[in-house]
Amino acid sequence: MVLTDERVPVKSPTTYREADAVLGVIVAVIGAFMLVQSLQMRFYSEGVPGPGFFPALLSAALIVLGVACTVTRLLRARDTADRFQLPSQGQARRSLSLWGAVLVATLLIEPLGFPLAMLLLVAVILLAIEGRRGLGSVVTIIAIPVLAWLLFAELLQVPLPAGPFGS
Amino acid sequence: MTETLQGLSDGFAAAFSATNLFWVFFGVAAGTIIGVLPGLGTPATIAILLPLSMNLDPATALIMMAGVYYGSKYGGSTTSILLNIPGEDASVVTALDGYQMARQGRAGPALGIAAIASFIAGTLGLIGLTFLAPAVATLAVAFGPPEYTALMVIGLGMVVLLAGRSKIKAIISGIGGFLLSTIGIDLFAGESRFTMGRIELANGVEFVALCIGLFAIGEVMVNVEEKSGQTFVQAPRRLKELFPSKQDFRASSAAIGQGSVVGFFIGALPGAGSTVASFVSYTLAKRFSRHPEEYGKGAVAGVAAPEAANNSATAGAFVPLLTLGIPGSASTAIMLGALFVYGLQPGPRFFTENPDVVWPIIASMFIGNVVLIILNLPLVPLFASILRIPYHILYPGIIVISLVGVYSINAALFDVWLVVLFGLLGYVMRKTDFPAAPMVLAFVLGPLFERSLRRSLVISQGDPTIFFTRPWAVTFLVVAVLIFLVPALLGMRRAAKSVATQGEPGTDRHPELEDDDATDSDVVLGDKRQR
Repeated sequence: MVLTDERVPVKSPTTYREADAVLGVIVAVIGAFMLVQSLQMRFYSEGVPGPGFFPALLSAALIVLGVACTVTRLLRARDTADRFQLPSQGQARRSLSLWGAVLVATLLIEPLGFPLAMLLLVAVILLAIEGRRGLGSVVTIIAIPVLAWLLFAELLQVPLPAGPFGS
Repeated sequence: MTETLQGLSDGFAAAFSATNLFWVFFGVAAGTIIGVLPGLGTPATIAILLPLSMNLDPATALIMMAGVYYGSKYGGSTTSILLNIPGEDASVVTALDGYQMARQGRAGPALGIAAIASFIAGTLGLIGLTFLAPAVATLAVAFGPPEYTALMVIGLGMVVLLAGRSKIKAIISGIGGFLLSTIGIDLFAGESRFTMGRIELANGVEFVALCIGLFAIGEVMVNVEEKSGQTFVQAPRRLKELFPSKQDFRASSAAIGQGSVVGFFIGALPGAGSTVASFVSYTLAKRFSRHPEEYGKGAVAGVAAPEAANNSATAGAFVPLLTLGIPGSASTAIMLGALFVYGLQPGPRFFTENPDVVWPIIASMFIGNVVLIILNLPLVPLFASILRIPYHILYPGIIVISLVGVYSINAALFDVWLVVLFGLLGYVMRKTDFPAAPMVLAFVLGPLFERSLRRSLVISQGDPTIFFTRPWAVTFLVVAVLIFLVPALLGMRRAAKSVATQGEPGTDRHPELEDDDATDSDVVLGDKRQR
């Protein structure tokens, strides 16, 4: 079955108009932060753009476009852009749990090594996020990190952190 | 001409030795397999095999490396199409439509057209290398910083062409990519920019980490939001579904032709490379397509154009390498190093002084191209069968291979952190309808533009008229104006017409679609979402 847009449940009344207005403000704030940083670099020297030239111009453009994004959206009628769907609480929990698991696994790469950190990551994904039990899951949890290790560390001689298993 | 044909014929005679044929096969196979893995791109693959090549004679060693070069380009497109993981820099663009084709159950045709486009364009590129090398090399040398600057104006302007529903969002995404590319030590002034004191950022943000985060991890996060047990990509079931149809060939032929030419010339420009070639070819194909709205949603020409360009660029990159001794990319730089080890010095007289090395290399590239298609077309069903793996098993594999692959580039954990960060960014961008492609395009082209602009102004002592006094630079600037201004004017004319017909029955307008490229299908999609 293909994931089609038709199957996305309508859960949130948030519109692109509202979402883009907020996003525009965020973009403008990021632009302002970058501009402050950029202005600490030389803008122009001896007739040639300095290291701050492009960052400053690009940051300024971000501010302008962010403001433009917010203003143009707010000026539009409310009912014309009702197409944006915020993920439901359950959906967001799944995607952000996955991201959190990847984050924690990355933290564990140095102390535990790649094989163990990746094994834990796959285990969390299959057991906690997907709720899969059984032999198939156990095989997958072991097979993925082992295959990745064999391919990269053994066959291609990439120096992966091995953790407690390393020499 | 006769000399060239004689040289090529001698080259084929030499290349057809059993030893050389074995190494071509080996190179293409090794390149394809390693190219499939994210992170380990062509330069790394050649570097890994370099010690092995030292035991071979110069022509055989370069024949093997050329095979690796071709193989890895194709291998990179496989994971782009099937899993949205760009296995290699130049296959980022292939993911845009290739992955969408795979989602629609058309992975086979996408892989097939990628192989065929690669073969045709690779062969055309080689014909270019054989007959046009000296002329193209002269042209490439005539390209100074002002010409590059003007060329990059065209490239960066293409950000707008990669827009989805909103041009503002595409431009914001492009500026974000350009800003990201400024992170690191500015080699021009020797000052660090936005490094926050992190030594890991001194060399800038790793391109592959950006791409894998935005495309692979972001995509997985979006898919995982749905309940488990669903398949997000339809696996092809019948043999007929595994290969491109006549209609696919018809739809891609122009893109393949255009990609071959564009790829060859961009590949021949030192520093531009196949990634730039694939972006330029894709955006040109979209701009001149009768159905630009299909791009990004699974257009077969959207796979053919970048794949053709990236393979033709491979042949193009050999032009400055062999005729001028200038490597146009990291891979050709390693090959140049190998030539030096053998005591060979490529340059204007390389063809006349070392015909026993040059012609077998070129001939074996023709052979390598044929081997590539012989090896890979039968493997299409095997590759496509990856999609039969249930998604809850496939996606942990995608994540693990992505993280390990990115680590393997620089043996740096910091790059893995970048993937985690860009993964979240990619997810947010997907959810909020910010296109990722402009960010990646600007990330690639931004530094080229900045460097050439600053160099130009150093040459002219700060006088900006340098861009308007050199014929090629002026030509490119005029082309840029034509590419962007003419369609904009046509769009305004269309808009004016539609305003005039707005009151008529059946001409209901949707003002929320601010993009010219927004289509009827978008409108239908939008309406369905509202229900």
